[in-house]
Amino acid sequence: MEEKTAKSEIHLPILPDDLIVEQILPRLPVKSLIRFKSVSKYWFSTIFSNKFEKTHLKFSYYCPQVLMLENGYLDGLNYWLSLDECSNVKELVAFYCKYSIIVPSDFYSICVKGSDNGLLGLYDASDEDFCFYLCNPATQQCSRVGSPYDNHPESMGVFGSGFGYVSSIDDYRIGCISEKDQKGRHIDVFSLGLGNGKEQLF
Amino acid sequence: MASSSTSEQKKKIRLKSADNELFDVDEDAALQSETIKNLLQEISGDQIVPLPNVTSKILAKVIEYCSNMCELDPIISVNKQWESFFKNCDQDTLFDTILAANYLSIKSLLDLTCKCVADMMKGKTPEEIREKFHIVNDLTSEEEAKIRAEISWAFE
Repeated sequence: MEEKTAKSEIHLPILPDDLIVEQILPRLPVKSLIRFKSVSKYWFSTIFSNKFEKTHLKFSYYCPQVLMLENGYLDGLNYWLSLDECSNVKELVAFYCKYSIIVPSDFYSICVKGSDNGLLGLYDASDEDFCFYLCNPATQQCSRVGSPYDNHPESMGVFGSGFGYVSSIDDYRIGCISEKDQKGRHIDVFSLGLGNGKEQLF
Repeated sequence: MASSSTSEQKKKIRLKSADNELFDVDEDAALQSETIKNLLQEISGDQIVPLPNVTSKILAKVIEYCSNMCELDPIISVNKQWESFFKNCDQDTLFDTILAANYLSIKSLLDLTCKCVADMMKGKTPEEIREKFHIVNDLTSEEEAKIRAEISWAFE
C-alpha cells in the first residue's frame, strides 16, 4: 500500500510572476506602479520594460484620463491635468514638477507635440538645440529621439513637426520639416528604433 | 412559460478536485472553463474530469461562480456580488481562486479576481506588497535608496 502523507503544513498560495506581471500590475494606476518599482529587482526591471509598457497601455483605456495643458496662460508652463473615473479633476500640476527626472526644472520651453497610445511626443524649443523626446508618463521614461540639427547643423529653423504611432510597424515616428536655405527644406523622420533620422531633401 | 428544461435532465459533468472530492456540474457551467472543455474532448463522455490543481474548497466556489454566470440574472449585478465577495474574503482564498481561474482558463473570473487584487494593492507601500506577495527584497540598501529618491513624488 502506498503511504500518503497528510498535507498538514501551512498552505501559502503564491502567485507566479507571469500572472502578477500580465494580469495584476497592468491594472494599477501609474502612481502605484512607480511606487512599486522599489519592491524588488524583478519588479523594477519589469515596470521599466517595453513589453510591460504595451500591456499597461492595453489596460489603461479603463484608467483615469490625463490631459496635458500646453503653455498655461498663467506662467507659460505646461500642466498635467488628470481626471478620475467620474471626470472630476484629480490633479493639476506643472509638468516639470511631476516629472522632474524627465524634465529638468530649467526646461521651461518643453512643448507637447501630441500624444498617442498613452505616450507623449515632446520637443525642447528652448534654444538652437531643437530636440525631440518621447515620454511615457506611466513609467517615467523619456528618450531623446533626435534633432534635425543632428543631421544638418546648418539648418535655419524648424517649420513644423508631427508625432504618431504607426501600427503596421509597431513603432512611433516623428516627422519634422526644417529650413535648409532660401530654396530647400529638410524633412526628417525620427523613430525610436533607429535613433537617427532618415533624411529627405526637397 | 419560458422554462421547458424541467422535463429533460441537464447534462452533468463530473469533476474531481485535488483532494478527490467529486462534483456534479451542469455542462454549460463547466464549459465556461476552456481547460475543462479541452479535457472533455480528450476523454470519453462519462469519464470523470480530474482537476489535480484545484482544492475542493476553491472548486466549490468556482463552480458556484460559473453556475451564477449561466443564470439569466443580469450579469452585472451577479458580478457586483462576486466582486464584493472577493474583496472581503481572505487573501489566501483570493489568490487560490486566481490560480484556479488561470489553470481552468475562466477569463471572466480571472479578470474579476485580478482586479480585486489590483484594487487591494493601490494604497499599499512597497513593504506591504512584499509581505502580501511573499517577495524577498533583493535590492541593496543603496539601490533602494536611489530608486526611492527618484520616485519620491509617488509616496506623497
